Amino acid sequence: MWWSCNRNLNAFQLRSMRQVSGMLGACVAITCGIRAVSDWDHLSLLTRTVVSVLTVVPIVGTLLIVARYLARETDEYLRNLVVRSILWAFGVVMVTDTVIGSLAQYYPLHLPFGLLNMDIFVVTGMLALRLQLRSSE
Amino acid sequence: MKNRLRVLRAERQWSQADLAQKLEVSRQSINAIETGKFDPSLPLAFRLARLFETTIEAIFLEGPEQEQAE
Repeated sequence: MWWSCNRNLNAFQLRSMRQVSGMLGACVAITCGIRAVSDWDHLSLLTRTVVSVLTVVPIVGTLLIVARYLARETDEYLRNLVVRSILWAFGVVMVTDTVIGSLAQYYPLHLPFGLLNMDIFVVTGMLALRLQLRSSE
Repeated sequence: MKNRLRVLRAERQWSQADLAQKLEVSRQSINAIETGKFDPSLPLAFRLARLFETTIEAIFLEGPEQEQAE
């Protein structure tokens, strides 16, 4: 995903982007894993709970990576853009969740949309950052 | 907030990239400051003033917001 953001990244920014992309990959893998496991009837409640808690790992990881990035980024303008992008991403995730939550009251939704929150967050955040950086070109 | 960054930079024949390198910030930061999209923090304003060997007031001009407040 880092390639979509900016080609002029320094080593630290590139490393942070790669780590966030790794977390996104982990999130996708965990989501697929949960989908596969959900079909197994013989799993205990404890196993299902552990697998469900695993979904938090990429979210916490992403938050830690972003927090460390913001703490170490010396360019205040980029810091400002990243914070704005995070706000956009949070906004899109909340709006998406609310709309899907409302739709779920009327229609049976079989897909685990809640598990996609992290993916929506990262993709929206990177897209928002890219668009803001483009406006500063 | 308006500023004279573009003029001061042009006087020295520096590109945005040159100025960004001297200040250790991104070129996008310089562009955002020049176009008034972003107001730098006080430490960065001081660094700009020191680099151009002038005062902060000589670089950044009072905008309409300040005039209205007065």
